Amino acid sequence: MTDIPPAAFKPVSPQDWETLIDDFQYGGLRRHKWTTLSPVLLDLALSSILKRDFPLKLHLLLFLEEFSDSFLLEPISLDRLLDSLRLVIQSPADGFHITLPLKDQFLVSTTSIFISLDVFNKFDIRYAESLVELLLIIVNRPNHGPDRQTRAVACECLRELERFYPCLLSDIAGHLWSLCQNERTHASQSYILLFTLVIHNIVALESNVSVLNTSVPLVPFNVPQSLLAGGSSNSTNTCLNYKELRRAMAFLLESPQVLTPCGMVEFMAMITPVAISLELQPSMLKVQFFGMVYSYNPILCHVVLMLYLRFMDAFDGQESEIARRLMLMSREAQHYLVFRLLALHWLMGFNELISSREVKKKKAMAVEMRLSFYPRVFDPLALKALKLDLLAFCSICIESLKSESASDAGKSVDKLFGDGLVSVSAFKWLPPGSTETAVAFRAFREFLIGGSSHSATDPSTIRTLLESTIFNTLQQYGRWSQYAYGGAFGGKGMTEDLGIVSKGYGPTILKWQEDGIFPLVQTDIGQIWKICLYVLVKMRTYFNQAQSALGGVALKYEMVSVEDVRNINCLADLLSYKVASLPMKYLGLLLGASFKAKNIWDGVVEKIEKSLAGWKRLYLSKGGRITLIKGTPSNLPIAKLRDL
Amino acid sequence: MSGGCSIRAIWILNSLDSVVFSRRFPVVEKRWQAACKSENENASEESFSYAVYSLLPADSELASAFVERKQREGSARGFGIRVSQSSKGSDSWVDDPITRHIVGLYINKEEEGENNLLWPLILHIKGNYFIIVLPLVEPRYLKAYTRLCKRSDCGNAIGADDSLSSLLLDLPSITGAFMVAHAIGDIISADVAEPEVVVSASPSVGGLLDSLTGSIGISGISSRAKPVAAPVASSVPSNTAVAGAVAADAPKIGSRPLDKDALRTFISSSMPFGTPLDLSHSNIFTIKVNGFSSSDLPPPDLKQPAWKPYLYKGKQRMLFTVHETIHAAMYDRDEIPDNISVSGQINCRAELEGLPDVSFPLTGLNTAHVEGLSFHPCAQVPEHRADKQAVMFSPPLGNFVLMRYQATCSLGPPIKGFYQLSMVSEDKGAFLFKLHLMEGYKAPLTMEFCTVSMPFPRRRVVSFDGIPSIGTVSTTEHSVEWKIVTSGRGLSGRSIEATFPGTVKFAPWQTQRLPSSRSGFGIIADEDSDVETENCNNVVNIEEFLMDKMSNDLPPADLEEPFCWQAYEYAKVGASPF
Repeated sequence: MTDIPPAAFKPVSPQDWETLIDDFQYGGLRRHKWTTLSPVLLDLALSSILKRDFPLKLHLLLFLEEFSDSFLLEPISLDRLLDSLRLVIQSPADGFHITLPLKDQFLVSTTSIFISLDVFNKFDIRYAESLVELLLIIVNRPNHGPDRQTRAVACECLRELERFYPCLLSDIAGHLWSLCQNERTHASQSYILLFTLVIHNIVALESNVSVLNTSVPLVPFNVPQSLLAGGSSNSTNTCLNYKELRRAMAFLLESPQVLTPCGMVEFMAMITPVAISLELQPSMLKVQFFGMVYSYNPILCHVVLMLYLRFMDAFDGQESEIARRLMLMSREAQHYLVFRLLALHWLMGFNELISSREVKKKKAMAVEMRLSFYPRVFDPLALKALKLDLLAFCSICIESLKSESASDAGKSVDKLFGDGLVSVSAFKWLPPGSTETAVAFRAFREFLIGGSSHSATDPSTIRTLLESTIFNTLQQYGRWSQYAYGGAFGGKGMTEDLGIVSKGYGPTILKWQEDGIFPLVQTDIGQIWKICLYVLVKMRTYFNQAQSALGGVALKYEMVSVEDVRNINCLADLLSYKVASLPMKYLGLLLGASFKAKNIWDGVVEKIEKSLAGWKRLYLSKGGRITLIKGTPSNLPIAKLRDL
Repeated sequence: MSGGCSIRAIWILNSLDSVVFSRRFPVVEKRWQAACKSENENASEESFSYAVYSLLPADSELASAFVERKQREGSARGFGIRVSQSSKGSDSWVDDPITRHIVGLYINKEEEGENNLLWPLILHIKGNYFIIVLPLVEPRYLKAYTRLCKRSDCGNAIGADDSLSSLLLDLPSITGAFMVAHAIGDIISADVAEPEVVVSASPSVGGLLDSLTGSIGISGISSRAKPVAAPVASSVPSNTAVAGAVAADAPKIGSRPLDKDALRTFISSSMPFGTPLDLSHSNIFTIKVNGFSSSDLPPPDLKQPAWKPYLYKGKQRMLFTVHETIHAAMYDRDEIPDNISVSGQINCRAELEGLPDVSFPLTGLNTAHVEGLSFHPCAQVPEHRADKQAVMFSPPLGNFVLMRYQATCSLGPPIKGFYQLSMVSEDKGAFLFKLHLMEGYKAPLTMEFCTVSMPFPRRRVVSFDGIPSIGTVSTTEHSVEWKIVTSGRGLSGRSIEATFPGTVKFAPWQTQRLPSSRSGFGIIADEDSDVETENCNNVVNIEEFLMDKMSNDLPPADLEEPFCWQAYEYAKVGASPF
């Protein structure tokens, strides 16, 4: 077989189909070469599936489902599809040619194709009705033994249809409810979820139907008029039948015992908005579901958190219990690391959330919990990094509480910081490229800038930063600055800027700064601000050290704003700088002036003339002179720079 | 209907970065496209530039995007925290370790320009396979993440608006997708995640380590208790009525080559439309193999839970085992207390007819030592956990972990002691072990075997010299193994002391120049080492010199590791069961 199949080529053998499926999944040209086949693909596939001995039935069904968008669907193919489905469903399962999984998959794939291709709206409604009818017939045999799994699957198909065409099944809600009550096999989860969705959609669309009414027969199934009219029948929707819906809810709330954790997620996602609309007591939900927070299943804990997010008032007073549980989850060594990380993230997100409601409360809570945030010896480094984030968060809380209550909280910030870093203290002797170093420096930064307001408009930020306890503690950390250059600060923006200040110590820096320029304030003010702040703080430290090293010689620095900076005077004041303006002289050139202006180059010409004057021109040949003229001007600035 | 969990697609890549399995859920994809459409319609001018990429990539596109990210981020997982190689828009720019697990890929980077980020992709690595799961999230979360990984600041900020934490809190679909990814991982590696099945035959990993400097001596011992003779675990369909004679009816899935049929079956049954319903393999495969007969009657008055598709019939019994992992950091120093913690679990197997509720008493529980308990979803924990005397549960089929606990240890670890290694020359080290076994443990607790292994991952062992006070010694290329207690000659009811002084000779040291992944760092050699020499008066100068030499080219540790193991001389202890 060549790469491009002839137009008449039709896949028949299992191998052909495998090639075709692979090509479709691979995409691009390999998929493209089958385009000619698309009008007949569905028919071909169906006839292969119906063959007795075809081995890839399930695989082919999945293929039809996944790539249904590439068919050109004709009504006749739909008929064919439905007929084949009926044929498979009605044949007895022999365990070889027609298996139960095949039946299940056929139901799922057909439903999926109907939804993907929007058969409801694009084709005659009878196709949709006959599919729903077929599914309802299967579903309508509660507690029937052997086919319980198929009935569960049919419920899932109906649920998916109801999800895409809300209120499709609302007229028969009464029947679904009684099926739901009767079903006692493990398939009951699917019945419950289906009924819950129907209720959810009735409430969401405020449809005025009775969920107790069984006057509309289950089969034959007719699509409700409201759906056919294109949803324009809002006028008929008056109000919800609250009493009945509350009864249905009471029934549903008794059932969570039978749900799997995944089923519970679906159930809660549907039940919560209904509870809000029906104005149910949130405490009812709380009593029923809060216990799940003690499960070790992460998804169930998350369900409780979602519930909390919706009903914060009902859970008032339980924040610290939730926080404690999350912390404990992060400690469970039996979990995959990612769930331990997730738990800490939830805790952080949770803290942010509470903080937006009651600032003081959360702060007190975080401070109270700080002891449990300390990284442990055997915590993976990723976990240590996140726990240090939490500690940094605590330090912010402590600092802000301190300003309110003037206690000796300052000390405990030091302690928090110092003790927290013990877990990665190996960075002091490990090579600078080590992960411990990276984690430690990430924490330094968090502690240092975490408390700042991250906004360019707040002039107090820098002062707060310089006066912060953490900053003072950091200064005592001796050799750490050396590693700053090691890039451990994470992020190009940071290292590039730091590179300037930490190229060396004391005099070196000072010399460099004599007529150096540094990116004090960059154009992208809002976000670069933090980096600048950081650089500023760093510089300040170095300058202080250097000044004392030089015997108290006062040095003058100028700062120039490239863009409009609001607080430049405040900044300059803090750092004992002078504010200068452009153009200024830098490396012998006028910076900030138009480079097209002729006179700004005068100084350069002068300098180079001076340099060349010393040369003994007479000793050079003509060619040598040309070389000199060509080479020297380009090298002079570099030579000059090297001295700096 | 936010708050649910649906999966848009699943891919599995092999170690050659090609897609070996993929599955898309067109129904979920349709929901995604509808959400994108309404999001783009509602988008204001300002956020319009973040219009989301709305197509699912073909396998080849995904694979090339994966390779591209791998190159950009240094490894399949990525840097995790921001380093100088991190580029704007990449995961490590977000500066959070969880981006090693929740990744973003740029599909068709060259052609599409801005709006081609595929996020959140759950990355789970199992064996040689990369499992990638894409859950459905609302497009606004994708936009928020795009902003996060492109913001021009200096890294993660605590308490900032729209932080990664608040996104993760809002998105149970990510949590659910991780559950799916791990369930698929278990199928690929064919280890059925039932607790008692896995009886670890090989000594478990733990560490007894001592730093080269002598200043930091972290040591750890972990031991794993093998559960007492429990029957081979499997889920029991009702037709295996003979108690004890339980066949392993969960089909064995070979790990290589990838059993695509098993995967397809699992995915189709556990999430027919991309929305997970039940992720229990044993239930799914039992239903597939056995189906239901008309004799499988549902209970007369109760609803049968979805997580218990079959009811047990036969002789009734319950089995419990306890499995504990001890993490011990033993410093052997007076001023630093040892740090010993226990992670334990109680495994259960309940062969009970019907749907009974079982009450499990917790009266013997020493609450002072237990930090916290968490339970299997089948346990009914009341809202306030007021009753700490017992826990009520309705057991599922097969083996399950009833509860997990974290505790501090009242008793010392079963192996206690210290290990020192000092380099007397460049290629020769002298070591000393002094261990107490089973100190404070009384009969009937038995230690069936105990093996100490000294790994030297970066040195090749040439020879060793020394005789232990008990047990036998052997060497491999990169380790020395000391078998203190061998199986069959268990240690019961008494404690022993074991010492092992000796020397080990290595092949000449070769500087291992790693491909400098962190190039461009101007590293200045340590000049003042006041911090670490504090406690090393007994360390000869040559050792210090050697340490510097060796530690300078230590590879950075993985973020999944607790510390850089290779920076320490450590020993691993395996001991069990008792």
